[in-house]
Amino acid sequence: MRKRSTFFSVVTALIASATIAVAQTPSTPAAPAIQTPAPAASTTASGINWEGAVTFGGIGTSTDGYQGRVAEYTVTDEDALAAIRFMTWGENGGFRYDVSVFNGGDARNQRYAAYLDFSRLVKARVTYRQFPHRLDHDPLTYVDGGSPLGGTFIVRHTDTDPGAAYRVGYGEFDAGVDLNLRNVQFFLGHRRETRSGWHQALTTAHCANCHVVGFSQKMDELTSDLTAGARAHVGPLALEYTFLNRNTEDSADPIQYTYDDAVQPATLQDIFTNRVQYDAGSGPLPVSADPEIRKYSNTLRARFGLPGNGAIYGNFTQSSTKNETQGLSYDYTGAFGRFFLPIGRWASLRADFRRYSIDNDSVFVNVIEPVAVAGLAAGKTYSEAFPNALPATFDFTRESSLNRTPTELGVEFGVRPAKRTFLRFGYGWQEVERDYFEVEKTTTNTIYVAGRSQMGIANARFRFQYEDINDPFLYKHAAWPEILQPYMSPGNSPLTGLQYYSMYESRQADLTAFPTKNAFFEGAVTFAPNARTAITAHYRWRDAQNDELNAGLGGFNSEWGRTVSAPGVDVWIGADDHWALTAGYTYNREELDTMFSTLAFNG
Amino acid sequence: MAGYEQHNHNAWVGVQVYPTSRTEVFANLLWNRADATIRDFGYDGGPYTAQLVGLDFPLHSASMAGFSDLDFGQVGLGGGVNVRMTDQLILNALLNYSKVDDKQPYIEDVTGSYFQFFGGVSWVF
Repeated sequence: MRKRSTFFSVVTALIASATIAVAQTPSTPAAPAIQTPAPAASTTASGINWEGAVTFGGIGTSTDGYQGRVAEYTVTDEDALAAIRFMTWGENGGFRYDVSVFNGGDARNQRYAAYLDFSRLVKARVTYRQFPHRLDHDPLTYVDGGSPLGGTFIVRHTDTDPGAAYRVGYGEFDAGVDLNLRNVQFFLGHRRETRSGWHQALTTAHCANCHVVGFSQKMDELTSDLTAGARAHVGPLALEYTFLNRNTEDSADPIQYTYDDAVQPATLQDIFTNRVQYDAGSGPLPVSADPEIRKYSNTLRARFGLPGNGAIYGNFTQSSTKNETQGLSYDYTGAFGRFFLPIGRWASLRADFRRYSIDNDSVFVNVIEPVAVAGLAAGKTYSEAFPNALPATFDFTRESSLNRTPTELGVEFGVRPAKRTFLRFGYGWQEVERDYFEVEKTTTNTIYVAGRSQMGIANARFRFQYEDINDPFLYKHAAWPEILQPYMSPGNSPLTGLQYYSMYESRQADLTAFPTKNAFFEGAVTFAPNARTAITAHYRWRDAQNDELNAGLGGFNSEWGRTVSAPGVDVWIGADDHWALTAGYTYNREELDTMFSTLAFNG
Repeated sequence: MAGYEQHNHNAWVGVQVYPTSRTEVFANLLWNRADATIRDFGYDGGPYTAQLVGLDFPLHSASMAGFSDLDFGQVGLGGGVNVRMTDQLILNALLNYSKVDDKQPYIEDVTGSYFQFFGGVSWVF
């Protein structure tokens, strides 16, 4: 029987390895009626029982059109490639091993894995894989636009590498070892993830024109993890501690680019240098630079068993993520607890508690405010040129809307009213407090009922959930500004009407992508008239609405809503031991209702 | 109310046949069709195009109809045969055809396809 499994595992592995029909491979049906007797496993003189398979083959590919979508993660070079796969596994007493090797004839298509088990006292694993990821190349041609005003009063683009096909190679190395003593286990792991190749980087020069520029940017990114910890079991108490240290950096040098001269776009006079933070006079500046990120976390988990199969669970996590380039930190501290208590044979009670806080450093943004080199504002910053209309400085402190302290409580009552029938009734409460946002507190009340039952040839399950959300996260004053001054100001002043630099502040409508009411239902029914046939019909529905925005403002209706409806059916037929069929269909319809707002301004 | 609407169809069929005790034949089909669009977008760009002396930026056209229409199709067709010549020797052949059809290119046309063949021999020990 093991040999027969090998027969199909080789085939299945080749399908995946050769990146052919990975997603389309149907589920393996009931074991076929192959009567070939399996020869006994090989045994060496040392007594090791081992088995395996080796495959040699070739891959040929023909392509047409853009490969970035149809073969986003697949090697489709039109060269004949040799492929090899080798698998072996075996055991000797308490020692077990399992080794597999695949190489698809291309460095971007290879996988290796080895698992070793020494009498369950020491377990070790090593894996490595590599695959390509094609990235899009934005042609930028759609941004171009012109005007009859002369000069450089246009939007234009420059793609410095128009023929480039962007792609990165993804590599992942993962290794770990577990040491299992009597009541204590120690584990140690190391993971390295690399992304190497080229991607597109974009930047824009302003004022003289809107000039969007695309570059080929090298990527040489490494993420390295070290994980260590221990587990202990003492009577009804189980404890686990895990430490993680992660470092991410991109060692590729950023593109250096000299931005356009900030001249007046129509007259080309050099009088706009105080309207930008940098221009040609600043010299070459870095584009698309990635910071170095370091993260560490400490996690403590515990479980205490209670009489009668009850239990108390809990965990505590503390982590810190730091942008080493800028010296900014993101801290997380959280705790979770769960109490579970069976009530006789027919019911159970569960209660959950969770609270965590996210603290993101505030950032002082020191805006570069150069002076104009010519014109009426020569020698003045932009604020100094318009002292009555603008603040004294554009410096500001960015305080993160990510800062928050959510608290969650939940309780669930489970009951088994009949044989093979289970029902769960639950209630949840969540409160999210934010430090630096106009929506300071969001409260959510959730109720749900779920169940599953088996009745004869039918098996059904369902869940209905309803959430009532008070003050969901939204963007206040996000859209619909006052109308700009509909004529040009004479000279530089007086600026009588609403000017472009004030239009953002004049926005009136609140927008959000979060509901105040959220209803959800999912259900599935499976009919299995015999052991070789199963038909499942399933349906999922969600209706999320927010009717508490400043609807009706100025005649605009800013209500928000999202509805999702997704029916489907799956069929499995294994008529006899010689053939099997799986088929399915799903449909998903999603509708979003929202206010659209676009600022009509030409910069 | 303006909004965004999308439809997504997915269907698949897989067949696995063992005509003899030493032969496995399989085939599978995956089909996807999806479309999405802005709807009921009552944008009137007339006043802006009149004010701004003939700028021809897309957002200043008189209508946004069809601005973000997407119409996307994908098909994957695969098949193969494995023949066990002896207890140790297996012959493998696989074919796969995949195609993406971008019927309404947005930023760029991502239509493309590839045909891939694998032939090999396996030795089981």
